[in-house]
Amino acid sequence: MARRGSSQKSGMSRLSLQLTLLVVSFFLIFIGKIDLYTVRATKTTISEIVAPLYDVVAAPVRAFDTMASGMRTLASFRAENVRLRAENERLKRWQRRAEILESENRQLKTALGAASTTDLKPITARAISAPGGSFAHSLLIDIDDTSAVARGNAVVNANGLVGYVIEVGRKYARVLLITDVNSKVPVLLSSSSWPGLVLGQNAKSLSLDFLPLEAMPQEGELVLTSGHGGILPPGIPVGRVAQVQEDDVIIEPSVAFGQLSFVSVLTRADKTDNIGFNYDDLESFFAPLPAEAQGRLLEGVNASELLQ
Amino acid sequence: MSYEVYFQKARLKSYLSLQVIVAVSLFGMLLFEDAIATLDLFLHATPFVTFAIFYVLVLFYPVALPLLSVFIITVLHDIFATSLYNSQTFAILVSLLIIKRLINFPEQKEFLEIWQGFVVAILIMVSIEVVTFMIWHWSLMNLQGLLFQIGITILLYPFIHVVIMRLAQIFVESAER
Repeated sequence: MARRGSSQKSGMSRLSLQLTLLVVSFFLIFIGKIDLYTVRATKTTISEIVAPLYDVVAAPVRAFDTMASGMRTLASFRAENVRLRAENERLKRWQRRAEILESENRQLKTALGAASTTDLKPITARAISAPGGSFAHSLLIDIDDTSAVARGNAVVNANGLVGYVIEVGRKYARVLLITDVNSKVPVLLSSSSWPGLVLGQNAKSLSLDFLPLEAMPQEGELVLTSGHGGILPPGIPVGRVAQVQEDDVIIEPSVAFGQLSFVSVLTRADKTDNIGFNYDDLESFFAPLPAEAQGRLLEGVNASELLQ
Repeated sequence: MSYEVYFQKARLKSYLSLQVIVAVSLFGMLLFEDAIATLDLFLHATPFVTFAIFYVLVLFYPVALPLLSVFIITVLHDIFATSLYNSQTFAILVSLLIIKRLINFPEQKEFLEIWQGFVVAILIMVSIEVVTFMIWHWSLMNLQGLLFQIGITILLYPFIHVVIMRLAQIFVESAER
């Protein structure tokens, strides 16, 4: 009798634990979506703790990948050498052309008094996590000093735009890839200059939307960031138009996301958080105005009257 | 009577060390799954091997992997791997609980029934994740990668089952000794 009672009791406590776990995990879905400072700080802390462990676990996979790509290169060594020589010649010609165009561009900008966008400083970072699963495409990067990095900073590699920073820790930062469904990048079509928005689809390709009705994107046309919204700098390659359908334009990204090892974070000199607030300035944001400030807060009331 | 209860408690073995080892190993396994996602072969679509191990252990060796361990492992992984999206924990817990209710006395079941149960479990888990994703983002998602993941995992399940059953047998028996 007593044994049956104790087994019933343990059964009830097991059931209540299961229910509690279910309820907590259900609410975690919503908590994860709330953009609270505490939630973000917790996520960053956990990422900071787990990232070194991930680095260790991923080491054999990286070694295998390097070995496999090395073997592929060895197999096609001769052909690769010929191809690289030809490419080198072609790139030298492009370099000379680029130098001439850069000088011409600088002179024209000076003549027009156009705003310069060269206040960006690249910081090299190592990609340490996978680009993500089927539901989210983000990347953790290892940076020696994150003091200059802020949310919204563009992340690029030699081929183009990788994504932008959404979380900054002490040694790690998280990058939202342009393939993620939450990513929306304002772009321009390079030849026709029509503006649009490149949307991530959690797939290998991207979608170009919000184009003007009269826009006629051409297959193979380069798509560049437009700089609209002020978050991403203009002129970074995002991809090329791969397919033009009736109601959809498919973009092939410039970056091969499966081969990300090193990336550059384009930091701004003023370290402004381009997505939301600059959290470093929150203290001064909420501080009361000094009594001597004469600026009017509301119609008919000024700071000194309020603080009296 | 009270003496009996006292000694019964004293004789009980603690599985805590085994549970910690299993939880840490499975968390490492989840991270490894993420790591192999970078390979061209698996880009964004690695098989749900860790989920298959969860399934085997929760059904056959719940002492080695209680639901609390599953919860902690998946919450940590959710935060680390996705950062923005935390429905994996809920989906895994719901599917494992449903399967635990559906399959009583798994030791007495044929392997085919256990395999069918796994198919149901993985479909429940993925369906919950997909539905939550679609409600959250108000858009249809590309199911190609997911279907590849599900298919590969179902095909791999017999191998995972055999390996995990043997390993669990060794570890649980040594913990009981």
